[in-house]
Amino acid sequence: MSGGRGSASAECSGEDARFAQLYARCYRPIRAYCSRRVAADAVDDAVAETFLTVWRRLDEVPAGEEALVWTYGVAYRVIGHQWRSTTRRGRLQDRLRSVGLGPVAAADESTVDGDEHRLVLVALSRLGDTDAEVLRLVAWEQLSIADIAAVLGIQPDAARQRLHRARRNLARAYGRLQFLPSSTPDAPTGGAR
Amino acid sequence: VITEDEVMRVLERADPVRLGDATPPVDAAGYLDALRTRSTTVALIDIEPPPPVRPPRRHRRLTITAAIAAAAVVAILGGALVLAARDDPSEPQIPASPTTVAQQPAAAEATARGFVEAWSAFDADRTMASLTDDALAAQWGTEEELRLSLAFLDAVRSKTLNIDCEQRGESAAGILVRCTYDNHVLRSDGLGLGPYSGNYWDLTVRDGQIVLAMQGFDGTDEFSAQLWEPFRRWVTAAYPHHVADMYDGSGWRISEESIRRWEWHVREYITSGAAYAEAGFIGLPPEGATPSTPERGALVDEYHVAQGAYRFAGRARLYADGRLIWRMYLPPGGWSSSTGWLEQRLTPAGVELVRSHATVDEKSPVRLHEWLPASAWDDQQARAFVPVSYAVCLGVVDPNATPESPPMPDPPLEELLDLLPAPAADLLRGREAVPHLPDVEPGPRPCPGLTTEDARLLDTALSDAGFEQDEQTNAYLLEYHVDYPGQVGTRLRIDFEPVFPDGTMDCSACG
Repeated sequence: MSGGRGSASAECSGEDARFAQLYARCYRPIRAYCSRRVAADAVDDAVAETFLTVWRRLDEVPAGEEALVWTYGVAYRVIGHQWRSTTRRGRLQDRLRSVGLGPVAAADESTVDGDEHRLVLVALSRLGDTDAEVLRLVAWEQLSIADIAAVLGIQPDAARQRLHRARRNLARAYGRLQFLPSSTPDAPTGGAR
Repeated sequence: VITEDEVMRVLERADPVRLGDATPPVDAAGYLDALRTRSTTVALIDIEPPPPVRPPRRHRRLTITAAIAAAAVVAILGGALVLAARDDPSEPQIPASPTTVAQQPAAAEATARGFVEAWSAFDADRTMASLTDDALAAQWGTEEELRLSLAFLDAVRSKTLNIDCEQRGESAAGILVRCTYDNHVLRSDGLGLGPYSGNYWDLTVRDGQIVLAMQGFDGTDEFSAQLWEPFRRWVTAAYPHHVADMYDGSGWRISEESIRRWEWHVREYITSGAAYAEAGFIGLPPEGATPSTPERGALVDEYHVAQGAYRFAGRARLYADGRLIWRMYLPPGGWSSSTGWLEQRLTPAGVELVRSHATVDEKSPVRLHEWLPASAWDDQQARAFVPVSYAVCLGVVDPNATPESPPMPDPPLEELLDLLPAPAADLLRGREAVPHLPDVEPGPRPCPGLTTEDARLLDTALSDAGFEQDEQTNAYLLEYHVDYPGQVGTRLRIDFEPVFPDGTMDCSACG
């Protein structure tokens, strides 16, 4: 880790250029990643914390396309792990647990799709944290098994097995919700972890 | 009942964020300034507004805009459509000619050909123009049913080829002309299958009109074995609740709703890789299988196979000699199983077209048929890739590892070989390691290479020693595993990976 970077001078350097490249490449997907998992007013913080880590650990960022996967891994930890042990904990976690359905029930969706989306997000929230994250990474970030394993810091085998289990459990949870007398979601969230 | 694939598709659509078209202002320099002056209590950045609301998109759910009162039920026999049941099952009556008319065979053949061409082009008006009312009523019932049947043929991608019309006889009813033709259906052309022959129309022509149209088939059941039955099995497994809409007994059901389902599923059957599910094999090749030739080949391109939302649905390798070797997960986002490694062959021009194509989505082998000209193929039919040799990779894994678990180092190969039964270890000792491409698992682990014959011996040795196979993993590749001593829960894993013509291996269980 390059702990001194945060106080480096503003002098233009190769590091600046490297960071600028990473930022340009990763900003939008990382922002989307965070937006899928935290409330709207926490997204900026999560993105900022992620890129701060990238800046501080610039030497460790792999080259090429792996950089984005690596940065996803940072964002995963920022949202799900690191922030839990910081002074921001309460602030972020409160919002993590209160993510609404605004974007999901957007006006462009039909009622049927809106219902499906609510149900599937409720079903997702009933899975274990890592299983749900595996599904989000597949469905929303469209990552490969190897990349999912890299983001989560687990073996590809373990990621694959989690995916199998999570898919099965999601279908079951969704099926159960479909047949509830009232399928009104009680804790809908696309990203609560 | 919702399947795992379906719920994943719902989850995809429930994505709370879609990357909009508007490019957010990226100001890395300003961001750096903010980083350098940040304090722990001040918000770092004031950058983008929330991502733009995604634009309205088309509702994916199939909608029924109209329904027909009586659906025509059509049975398929080897690729030809035969009307099997209608509301009025009475035999068609051919009116006798009121006068003796000098029949003109050439003109009759032209009329018959015109009809078949119009029918093949799904041109309902032109088709009906050549039919008498009685002929239309006898074969289709109503104009609406004829239009519906043509819409259905269009939906299932029927393509008629090699129309050949010939007079077969003459009667008071008119001149009987038989028009034979070959056809593609269910996108068989995209799979390199067919065209299927044995189809014909028997058309009775009088006074420039068709007074009776009968469709028949006298070919083999090749279509049924290659496409009809596998497709039905896939629909039944993947969309069990659509079966009743699409099928009626052994035939297909035609309605506006069913047409949409057929169109959607026929396309998905290929693009999802399901159409290739039975072409390959997992693990070692069947005894007597002929290895792919030539043994060596220059790799010119290697890429992830994208499918829909899944950018990592498989991998493809393109060789200068025309071989396109690839595999896909089934389903693409589900990793339930794999097609196994398949091989198709392109012409030199086809290799260049694929290699230089910029759109990764379209380079997917399951989408090449959508844009690659037929002339670019030397052999479009996907067949199992039979390697000459195998790489055997040994590693230690913890299936229950969590994100907090420390990475598990791979012990030296010799240490792992000591855990194998002696005949197995002897087969692997002293073998040259097979290289892999830089971005391919299993990372730095050495993977000794074995001929296919020796790989079979190793397979037997491990099996005889009681090493286990996992049903789930063995849906992608041949793998054995056994408890790894010293660490509870960890397993020694032995993977068999095919060696490709460029001498490298891949990871059959990686995205």
